[in-house]
Amino acid sequence: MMTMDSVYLKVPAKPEYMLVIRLTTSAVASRAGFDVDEIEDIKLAVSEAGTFMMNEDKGVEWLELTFKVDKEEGIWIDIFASEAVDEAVLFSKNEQTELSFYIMESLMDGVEKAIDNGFLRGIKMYKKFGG
Amino acid sequence: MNITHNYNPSTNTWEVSLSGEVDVYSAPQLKEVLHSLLDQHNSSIVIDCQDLKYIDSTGLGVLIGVLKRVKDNNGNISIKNLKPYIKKIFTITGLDKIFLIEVQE
Repeated sequence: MMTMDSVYLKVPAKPEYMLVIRLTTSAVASRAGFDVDEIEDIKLAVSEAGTFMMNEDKGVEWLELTFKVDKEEGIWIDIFASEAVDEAVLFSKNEQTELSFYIMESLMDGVEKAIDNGFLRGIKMYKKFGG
Repeated sequence: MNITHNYNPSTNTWEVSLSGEVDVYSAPQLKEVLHSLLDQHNSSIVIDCQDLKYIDSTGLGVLIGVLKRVKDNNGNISIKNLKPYIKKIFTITGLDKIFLIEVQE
């Protein structure tokens, strides 16, 4: 039976906490067994997702990250915001958001938006070993 | 993130050294510094990334914005000594085709 280790991180949705997200992501990806290049990919993808979901105008107060590690398969990461954000507004307000999502999709094996009643609540992504 | 800069009048170029991590927290500072340099001399820029450890889409967005302004004055931005894993970000986003890029050996 597959066993997964889980790590949870909840940080204020403020730019100064992106470093905390990156450090945690690096540590978890390293413990999962990814190599240095893969750790860089995962770190950047998660950081992009955090930046993407961070939207002070919409009252997002915190970001909650869940890392699930299967040492035979890979890593699954959910990045959720405290408040759902209108995706159309998000894209129109920030010219970097499209670039950000493109980077995530390029670096991970799968990236999915978690939509709740037409609003973006979070981003889910995974990367498999050797993927 | 740390930025140092020097204007070279013989080549009419800003020589900028960028180190540390550029993300949503530090990108506004990068934007402010680079635009202030162009306010003094709207010339080409050479950015040495020997000690740059990390850059994300917010940092890339700043560089794209600055490049537009530099190109309006027929200049360019060269980025040198990029670490391979950072060069990869420029490649997947296609930015390696609009900046002059040199990878760290």
